[in-house]
Order: sequence, then structure tokens, then C-alpha cells
Amino acid sequence: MVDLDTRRELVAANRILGHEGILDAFGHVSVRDRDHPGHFLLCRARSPENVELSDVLEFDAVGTLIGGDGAIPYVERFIHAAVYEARPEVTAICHNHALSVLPFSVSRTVRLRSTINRSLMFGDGVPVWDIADQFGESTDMLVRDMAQGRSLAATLGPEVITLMRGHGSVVTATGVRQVVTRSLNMDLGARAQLAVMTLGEQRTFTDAELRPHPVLPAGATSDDRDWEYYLHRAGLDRD
Amino acid sequence: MTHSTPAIVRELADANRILGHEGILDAYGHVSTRAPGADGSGAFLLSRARAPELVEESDILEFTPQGELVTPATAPLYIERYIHAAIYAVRPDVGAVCHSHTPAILPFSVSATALRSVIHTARFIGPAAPVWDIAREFPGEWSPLVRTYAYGASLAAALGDGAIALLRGHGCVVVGRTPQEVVTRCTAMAKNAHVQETAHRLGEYTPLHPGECEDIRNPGPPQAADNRAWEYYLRRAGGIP
Repeated sequence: MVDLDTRRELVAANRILGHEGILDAFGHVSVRDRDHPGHFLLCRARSPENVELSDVLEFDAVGTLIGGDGAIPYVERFIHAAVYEARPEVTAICHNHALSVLPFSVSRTVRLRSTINRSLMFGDGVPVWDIADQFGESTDMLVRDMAQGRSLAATLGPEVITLMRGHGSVVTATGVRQVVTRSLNMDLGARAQLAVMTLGEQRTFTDAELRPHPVLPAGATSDDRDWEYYLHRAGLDRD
Repeated sequence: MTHSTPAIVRELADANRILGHEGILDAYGHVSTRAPGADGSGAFLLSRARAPELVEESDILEFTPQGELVTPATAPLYIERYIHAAIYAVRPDVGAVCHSHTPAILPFSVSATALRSVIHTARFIGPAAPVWDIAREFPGEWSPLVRTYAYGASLAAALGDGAIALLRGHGCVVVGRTPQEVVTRCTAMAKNAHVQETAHRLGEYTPLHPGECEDIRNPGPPQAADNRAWEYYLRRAGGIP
């Protein structure tokens, strides 16, 4: 049983990312269940900004709902199961359709890459998973089982983020607060990159500057500072 | 309104408010649903001429299959109600219709680049949304508005078996089985148009493969996702406390 604070934090993360427009009617955030290897918590199929504590459900390592009292889970829970399986250090995941990254998920010309310090996690190019590569050109593009989830996790590899062609992205982190910060930084980084492309000559980070991925020094950012700020914006600090 | 149940009237008023709130519709545009109990006759419900975000249940009127009021009233009516009448007449599968001037899709209504599915939530658009050009269909009598049933029927023919058609230099029509499905489709359409336009500016891009697009003629069961989105959008529009 995951403690109440983790559940509350998961609900808040969903609501924050909904409020900030990273998630809309769709998308979801999960957190690993530290007490049961591979298990994780994810809400019932409801828009993230609307989820409540009673919507939090438990899933096993292959995405099967445990209990749940007839609640309907998200079809794409296998994204979470497969990424937790492949990445032991990852403890929180956000799947989103953020509008700012979607053009990069279909572009064959431009890759999403780091333009600002807060998007250093993009490195010199974010991978793009194309469901058609392994599962053909007639799917409905949803990640409907573990085989598809594992294929996605393989494209993610050791990276923080992978895009999904024509669909969205998956953001990984080592905590719920960090997945919120990273999802917001993903959006900021994508928007900065799009904007700079319309301004003419660029002085953005070179490939050499981005290999290997530079990281911000410890303490340069604070997930807790972000958390307090975004809780406030979403009205969640005024119960 | 004798055939109308309060539930469908409420839903239609909500669909108006949602699409207005999300910026799919502005001061103009409208959304209708088939009149309950009309048994496929083509009778439908539509608001009196009012900006969609302001529509209330009491604004909803019932129209004949020809697009005229069932019960005479003095309320001003949308001139373009024939869009709805003509589509219901030829598409028994359609239960709701939206006509919009959504900014994101307008460039595609006058561009040689076809609006097409590039994101999975907009699988319904297909490999190329048709563009209906009133000037081409009715040479010599160009009209900026679909102000007759004949114009509506021509537009319905361009829509064919699809879920969306653009009106050149004007807007679009989106159809679905329910107001919920139309709301989901309209919001996804705007996002798809934004993503496609942006990706186009970046260079080459991969749209959805034809097999990834939705087969409008053989739809699956009604999508639970539509109800999820409906709750989300209704709350945003202030319809759920």
C-alpha cells in the first residue's frame, strides 16, 4: 500500500499539468509503488485536471489493474508498465500530447534538441518512437499492450524523454515533483526551439556543446520550488 | 420543441458553450443535433441566431428536414441552417453537426496543402480533408454564405462519407454521431491544424498513414474517451461546479 502522501502528490501532479496545459483532456501521470517492485499508481480513465484521490488505482508490473472496483483504466497504461520495467531508476512518468512537441514528433527535418539550459535533457536530439516501424501502418496509434510498451521503452533507451510519432511524448523522472518540472521544461524548450527558428541566424547550442549531455549543477533548479509555485497556480495550496 | 427531451437540449446547449469557450467557435458558427423521435426524418435542433458561447436551453429550436422552423417564431435564425438540414438528409449515421470558422483550419481552406491527419486524436480527418468551393459549384452566383438548401446539398456532397469538409475561405463542417463526438473531433481538428502548419514550416513531415486514419463508415463503438473529454471541457466552460 502506497502512503497517502504519494497518492496526494500524484493527484496534484495530474492537476498541475492539466492546469498548465501540458495535459489536456488526455494524458496521464504515474508513480512507482516502492513497496511492490514493478507496480505503479495511475488514475482511472479521467482527464488529469479532474482527477481526485479516489481515482488513484494500483497496477502490477504488466499493467494489470489490481482491485479497482470496476473502474475503467487508461488504455495506454502499458506505457508506464514497460518503462518502469526497463528503467529501474525511474519512479515517475508523464505521458502527454503537449502541443508544443507534437510538430517535432512528425518532422523529418528537425529534431527536438536543447536550445536553453532548462531543456538540456533534450541533448542533441530527442528520440522518436514510430509505432508503425514494428506494428504496421494500420494501428489506431495507441499503446495497447506490453509488446508495444516495450518497443517504446526500447526507443527511449537511457534518455529522459521520447517522442511518439503523431501522438505525444513520455517524460521520465526520479520523483513526482521532478516529472512535473521536466514536463514543464519540455514544453518551454520546445517552444523556445520553434521560436528561434523564425528569427534567422541562430547561436543555439552546438552538437559539441551537447555531447555528452551537459547537466545543470546540483541546486541550480529546485523541484520543490517549482512544486510550491505550481501548486499555488493550480489553486491546490488553498484547501 | 414537443419532441425534445430536456437531456438532449441540455447537451446541445453545453456543446455550444464548450465549443465557444475553447475558441472553436467565436461570435459565429453553430452546432446542431438530430431531433429525438424524428426517426431519421432529418428534423434537427439548433439554436436561434446567437453566439454559441451564450446559447441557453431556451434558445434551442426545432427545424424541419428542409431547415425551416417547426413552430413559427419571431426569433432571428442562422442563415446557414441549410448546412445542417442537407447533411442530416444524406447521412443517416450523423447525429450532430458543427459549422465553424476555427482560425487554425482557415489557412487550409485556401491552401493547396490539404488538411490531413497528423496526430492520432484527429484520425477522423483522413489523408486529405475535402474543400468545398461555392464559386466552383455555382458559377456566376458566388455567395459568401450557405444561404440555400441547394448550397447545403452541394456541401453535403463534398463531405461525402467523411467526418470533415472545409469551406473555401470560410470555415468547415465537422460531423459525428453525438454532440460529444463532435466536440472531441472539433478540438482535435484545431490541434491537428496547428501541428500540421508548424511541422510544414519545419520542412518534411510524416502524416498518419491511410490505415491509421479512422474509417468513418465503419466506426467502432462510441468512444469512452469522448465522455472523458466532455467532462473535461464542460468543467472548463463552467458547466460543472
